[in-house]
This record gives sequence, structure tokens and C-alpha cells, in this order.
Amino acid sequence: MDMMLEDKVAMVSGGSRGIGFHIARDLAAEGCHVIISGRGEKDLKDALDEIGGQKSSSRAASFRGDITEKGVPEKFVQKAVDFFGGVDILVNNVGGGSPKTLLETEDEDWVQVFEFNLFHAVRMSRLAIPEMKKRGGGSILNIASIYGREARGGITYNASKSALIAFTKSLAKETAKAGIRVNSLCPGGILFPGGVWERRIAEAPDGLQGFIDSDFPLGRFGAPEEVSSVAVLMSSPRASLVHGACWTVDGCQSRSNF
Amino acid sequence: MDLMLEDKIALISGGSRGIGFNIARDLVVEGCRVAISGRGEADLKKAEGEFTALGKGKVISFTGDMTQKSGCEGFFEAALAAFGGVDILVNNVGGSDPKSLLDTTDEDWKTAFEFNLYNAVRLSRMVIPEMKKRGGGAILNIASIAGRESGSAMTYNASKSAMISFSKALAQQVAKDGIRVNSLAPGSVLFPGGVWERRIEESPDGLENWAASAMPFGRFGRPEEISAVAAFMVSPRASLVHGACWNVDGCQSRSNI
Repeated sequence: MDMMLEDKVAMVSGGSRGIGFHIARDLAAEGCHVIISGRGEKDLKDALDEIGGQKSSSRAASFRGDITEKGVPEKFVQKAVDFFGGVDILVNNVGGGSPKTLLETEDEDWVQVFEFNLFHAVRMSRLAIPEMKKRGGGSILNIASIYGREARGGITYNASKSALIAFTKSLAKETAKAGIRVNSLCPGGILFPGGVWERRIAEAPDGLQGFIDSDFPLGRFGAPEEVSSVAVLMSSPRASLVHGACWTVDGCQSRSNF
Repeated sequence: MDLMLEDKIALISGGSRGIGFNIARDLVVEGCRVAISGRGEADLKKAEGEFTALGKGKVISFTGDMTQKSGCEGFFEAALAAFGGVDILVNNVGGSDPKSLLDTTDEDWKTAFEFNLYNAVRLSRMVIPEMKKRGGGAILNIASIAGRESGSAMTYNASKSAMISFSKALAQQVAKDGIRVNSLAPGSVLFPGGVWERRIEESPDGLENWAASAMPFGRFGRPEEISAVAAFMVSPRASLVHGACWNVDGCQSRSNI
């Protein structure tokens, strides 16, 4: 299927590892010019080498910085505009959780998790939308989680990913007439080098086999390339009617019927 | 993106018009061998001719009513005879009746569930053993945003909800067999011979204006916008998409999820 992504400019936050890296790589393979953000210099450089090698017509760039810090999203968007002349696609992929219970959390923990899972997406969207309007439209994809759709996982993670999904739908209504599509994608548990599940498997006495048996109908974690193929579809013009949607990609892990 | 659908065998019920027609065509373009069912022989043969003219895989059509057990059996057997197996099933048949509770008889409810649920149950039951023989497969049920939230005919709401629930329950049952089961929930999609075309004709002043104001994009959906997602969902590229209900509605529905 021709995804009609040739020459589009795509920004992927947290693009040096895992799901974000695979989304960036797959977008480059479809002909996008891709800029990724990340915090670690070496990871970022390794990722850039691989993303840049996907297709001769695709250019790639990286931006080093912590997207949850004030002022950093401005610099990330500015670099994309300077390098590639604008923005067509934004993938807000940064996120993370904390397993603390309510009584263990301070107000500061809540602020931190919402910075990690929501506010950078709000800021990045606010900055990217004017650039997309200049180009007649665009696409924003927020990487949420099945734990934003139903209860499970850390309480702050649940609440902040739910907020990200709600933000996605509200923003979709705001930007519909501007031709900017806004969607969220909810992965289940995804295993990749350097990711949270790799660490938890190493720490668990049973290698999380009990959790896999109880929660994963396919009998395994998901792989990042199984999420990125969907992310590419959602970001592409082939998904022209996909707007305000929250798609689950979890191998039947979640309980919700929809 | 290579959808890795080359040579797969796909059955699409209600494939002569609209969404089903577009799904069948997209799958033919991706290299599938396709069987379509329909009730009107003329439309069906025309669709079969168009698909064959694409010069890709073999295409067959079966004239029959999927709301009858004999129709499902005939379709399944015709496809099996022609292709020797099944990899993909798209349950696309469906329809609505605008009656309120006090206007409906038990028979109306039975008809709605035949139309929107039981044919998918029956065809799934038939194809799963064939998919197991081939090491896996994909079933896609075309539901509706009306199965996810209220705002349509009562029997349509209930029967499409049941279809979505059936999709998830079946997904859990067949996960270990490598058979993926999903549903796709379109919003209001306009196409020749479809329900929205008829409704627009019946209220010439009203409905296009309604779409302009009520739909966030100011327009109805197009069948090719549904079929692109359907082709992806039934493809091996969607290997982690299982038990999902994806809406494709241009932000028409209210639900956040």
C-alpha cells in the first residue's frame, strides 16, 4: 500500500529507542524526512545512523534535549523548521510511569508524571499546529497506553495517559476544519532493549511468566515494530478518516470491548 | 508499506457495493485471491468483472443471502472449492431499521440480529477450522460507531454492540491459534446505493447540510477511507492488532476511546 508519505516532514519525540525509534525508522522508510529527539547522545547517534540509512531520498536529523523541560519543545520545533522547512507529522511518543500508590505519592510526583505523559504533548502540539496550518494540514499522533483506557498499572500513569487520550479527542475537534488529524495509539506491554519491561523481567523471580500467562492472550509481549506499522498508517494520508480515534494495539491484552 | 497479503485467500460478505466492494478491491490490489458475496446478481457480477480486470489474483462471486444459514454455507463452500482454503474473512453485511421499541416486534429484533451479528457468527464458525489448517488467519467484523455509543436506530445499536462484544470474546478464544479477530467501526459513509445516499434523496434540503454542520470534517466518510484501514487490519503488518475495535469516523463519535 502506498502510504503517500514521500517528502513529508515528521517529528518524533523520544525517537532514539523502542517504539519511538521504530516509528521514526518506518516513517523514513516510507520517504519522510524525520527528526527525532532524545536525551542520550550515544543512543541518539546510533538511531540517527539507522534512520538515515532507510531510504536515499529521506533525510534525518536529531535533537538532543529533555522534551519535558520548559523551552525545549520550542527548540525542537525550531530545529525541524530550520532543517526541513516545516512540519507535517508530529508523534508525541515520550512517556513513562511510576508504580507508587496514592499514599506514597507527593504532589510533586503527580506533576512529574503529567509532565512526562501529557504536558510535553500539549506544548509540542501548540507549537506544531501553526506550522502545519502553513502547509494546509498535518497529523498529530499521541502514543498513549491501554492503561489510559482502563485500570491497571501505576495510579499516576493511569490518570495521565487517560488525560492524554482525552486531550487527543478534544484537540481533534478543534483542528478538524484545519485539516489536522489528531489521534492516539494505545500499545499494550511492549518489550524492547532498554525498555521498562526488559528491566521488570530481569527483576522478577519468575521472569514475569505469571503476568504473561494471565494478561497476554498471545502468550508474549508485543514488539515495537508491531506498534510502529500502525503508527505509520495513522500518520499517513491513507488514514484520512481516522481522526479523534484511540486505537488499541495490544494483542487482546486489555479487557475493554472497544 | 508491503502489507504481505500476496496470494492470501479472502472472503468478503456483501462485497458488491460500498464498503465491502472497496475492501475487496483493495485486497485484490494487494494480491489477495478474493471471494465476494451479494444478493443482487447484476451488481455482484459487475464487481467481479471490475476486480478481475485489475489483472491480479483470481476473483469469484457468490449470489446469496448471508442472513440465511444456507447462504453462509453456500458462500463458504464456493470459496473453498475455488481456492482450497481461507486466510481472511471480512464480515461486512449489515443494516439498520429506524423503529423505536414500541414499534418493533420480536421479529424485527430477530431480523436485526440476523443482519448484524448471526451471519458473522456463522461464517466465523465455518472458517476457523480452515484457518487453523493453514496456521492462522484474520477475521474482521465491520461494526459501526453506533455499536460503541448511542445515537442510531435501537436495534442497530444493540446488534452492532453485540458484534463488537463477539469480536473481543472470539479474539480471546482463538488467540493461541494465530487467528486475529478485530472489529472496525465506521462513522457515516456515503456511497452509491448506500443508506446515506437514499436518506439524502429523501430529504433534499436536510442531510448534506447536516453533514456540513454535524460532522467535524463537514462531510460524510468515503468507502475507500474505510477499506484502507480494513486492508491493514487483516494484513500480517497488524500482527499485534487483536481484539481491537478501531473507529474510523472523522471524529464523528463522542467517546474518547
